[in-house]
Amino acid sequence: MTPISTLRQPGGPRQQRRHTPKADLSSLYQRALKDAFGKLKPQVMVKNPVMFLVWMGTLITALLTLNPHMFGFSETSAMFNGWVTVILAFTVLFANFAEAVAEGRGKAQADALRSTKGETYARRLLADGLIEEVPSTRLQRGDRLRVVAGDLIPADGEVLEGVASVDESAITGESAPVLKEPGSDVASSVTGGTRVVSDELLIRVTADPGKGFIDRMIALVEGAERTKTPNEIALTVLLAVLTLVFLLVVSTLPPIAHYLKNPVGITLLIALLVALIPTTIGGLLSAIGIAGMDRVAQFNVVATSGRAVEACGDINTLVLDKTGTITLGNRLAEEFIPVNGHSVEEVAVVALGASVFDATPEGKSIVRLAEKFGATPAFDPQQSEGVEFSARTRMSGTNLPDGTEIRKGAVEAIRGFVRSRGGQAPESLNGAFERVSKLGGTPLAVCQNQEIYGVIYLKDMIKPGIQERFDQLRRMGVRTIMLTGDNRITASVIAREAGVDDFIAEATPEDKIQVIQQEQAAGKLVAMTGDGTNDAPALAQANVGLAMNSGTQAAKEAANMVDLDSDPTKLIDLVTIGKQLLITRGALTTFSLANDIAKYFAIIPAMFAGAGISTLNVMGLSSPRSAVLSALIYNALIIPALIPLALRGVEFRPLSANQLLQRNILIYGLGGIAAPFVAIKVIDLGIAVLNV
Amino acid sequence: MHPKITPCSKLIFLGLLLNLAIAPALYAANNQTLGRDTAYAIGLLLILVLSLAGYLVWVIVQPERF
Repeated sequence: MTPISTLRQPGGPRQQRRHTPKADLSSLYQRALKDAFGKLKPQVMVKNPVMFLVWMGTLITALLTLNPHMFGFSETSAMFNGWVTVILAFTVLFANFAEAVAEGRGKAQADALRSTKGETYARRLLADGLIEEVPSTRLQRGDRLRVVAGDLIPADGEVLEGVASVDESAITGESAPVLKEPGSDVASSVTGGTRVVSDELLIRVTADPGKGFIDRMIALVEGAERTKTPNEIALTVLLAVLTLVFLLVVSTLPPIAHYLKNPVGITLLIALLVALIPTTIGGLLSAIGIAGMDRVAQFNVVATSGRAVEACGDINTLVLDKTGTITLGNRLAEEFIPVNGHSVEEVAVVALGASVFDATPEGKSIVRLAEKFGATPAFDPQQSEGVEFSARTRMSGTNLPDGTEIRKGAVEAIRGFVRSRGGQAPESLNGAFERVSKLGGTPLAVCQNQEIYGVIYLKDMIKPGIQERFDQLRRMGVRTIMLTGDNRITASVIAREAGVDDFIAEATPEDKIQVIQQEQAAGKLVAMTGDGTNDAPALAQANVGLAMNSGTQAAKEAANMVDLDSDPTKLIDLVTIGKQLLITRGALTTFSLANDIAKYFAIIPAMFAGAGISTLNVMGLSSPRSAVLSALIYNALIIPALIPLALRGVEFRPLSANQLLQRNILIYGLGGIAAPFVAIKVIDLGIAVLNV
Repeated sequence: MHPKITPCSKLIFLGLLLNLAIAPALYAANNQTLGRDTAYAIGLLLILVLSLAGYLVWVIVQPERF
């Protein structure tokens, strides 16, 4: 059973697992400090409307420090203007620092990846069969290359010939080499930058130079291809509207102040403007987004865009394959159930005959169980032909040289096969089928020509802790649908045990895309995982498609995320990360806006001290100048104080949207109102004691 | 070789030109309570505030560019 504490925060043991070329974070803060100053360039600052206004305010107060009467009337001294300038400059620098820290993590990871790539030479096969050595940067899509043990694979490609072990630790962090061979859905693609450990391969390049998997990973973690997500765009508009409203309000105050015979200087107007505009969220907005991408990357998942990560948080429906996601990947043969008057030993011999060419874990487990019953193949495998399993026929087997056909597969498929050969399915087959199905196992019928011999009971093991994960998802309002090729009875037993909301039994690859389209037509956002070429259309159709790194190139290109560990269960974690990203952004926006109340009560009484509104000084701040400075210092310090929260994300709790809203309003709304009252008062006391 | 004129310097130049119209009007309207330099400074400040308002409207209209 997985402990709840590890479920709340995405990760658990996997969280500690990063890319093998570990990012060097020792100089992160030094580099971020340097970058914070570099970001003061107007062409960079203009990208952040809120902080750009603060920066403009800083420049004006700097001029007022040099000449306090530049704009005529001034109730503030050069010294006071100087203090305001310094505080505003720090506000901008803190916001730049937050963004630089978030970017720095990605850059460090990109540097580590770049160091593993390096310049390599490739042995390119020419049309006449000769081999020429060319730099990897000159390789084109479609080139054929030979790589041998010890070679770094120069580009992404597909295996055409050979079988070899490849060390993919540079991208997956997994030190065990992976077997690569042609013609297999899951083992035929190789990634540039990985190393051949043994034997040799002939590969065809599938990516143009600079467009390979590692190149895309570097661009992503570095943030070079970062575009604003819909949520960020909406928030940018909200912040710009608020800033514009406050700019207009503040710039129209002087005539009112003049009418009240309480003229207000430019420094105080700038102080009021900076205090009112949402600087906290304005300064942390991009850092939150970058940190979200970084959390996904640390989880060994490469996302094509921040949009995909954010979409994870809005997912309503998860479409999950049963095998590998809900149950442990390897189903094992548990029992042979004879039918039609045959003995267990006879079933074992036929099952062995049907499985000699089956290299899947299931096939191998059938061979092992048959051998326990003393079965040996009654034919020469060299002279026989293997029949591969396909999603359409839903059976596999062996064709013997004398024309005998041995098959194993879904009970309905075998029933149809036997009927097509002139045979009849025995009555007892239904009993055996139901018995295995009710146990939640997969029944495979075995036959030889037109005669059914029995049923193999393949035992499915539900992954530990998966039920709790589905419970959490349900509480968050996410619906789970299990897709399985199993029959209806088996599927319903597994679905009940695992706790999924719905299931589709005897599913074909077309069913995947159909179920996604149905859900999307109902206004839902759908996420799914896949690894095969036949999953590619569904991965492209889904709002979030997570492809396995072990999958085909087509699947990886169709998906908007690639899991380097090839663990389909991670989709559930990604939903958690996406929700955490959205919740963090919402929480800090609430906090930032709620802060305005206290800042308003600090600055307005100070500004209109002469108009007799001192009763509004509810905090009892010592002097008008100290009130302004306290509010601005709080405004600046809250940004670095919230950097850890922005980078780490708000603690995730599996609650419904309404519960989350109530909780966030309570903590970050009320907290955002109360915290600055206390903090500004404390800072004011400090200023009074220091007599600044 | 022609020196490169950045959009930023072009905007500053246009702002200064505009101020040649605003500042004298401000100076004339203030019945000698403002000095000539102050009128020019306030004129520039007004232009800056209006430019910032225009910039924020641009952000609202095309947020994906920011």
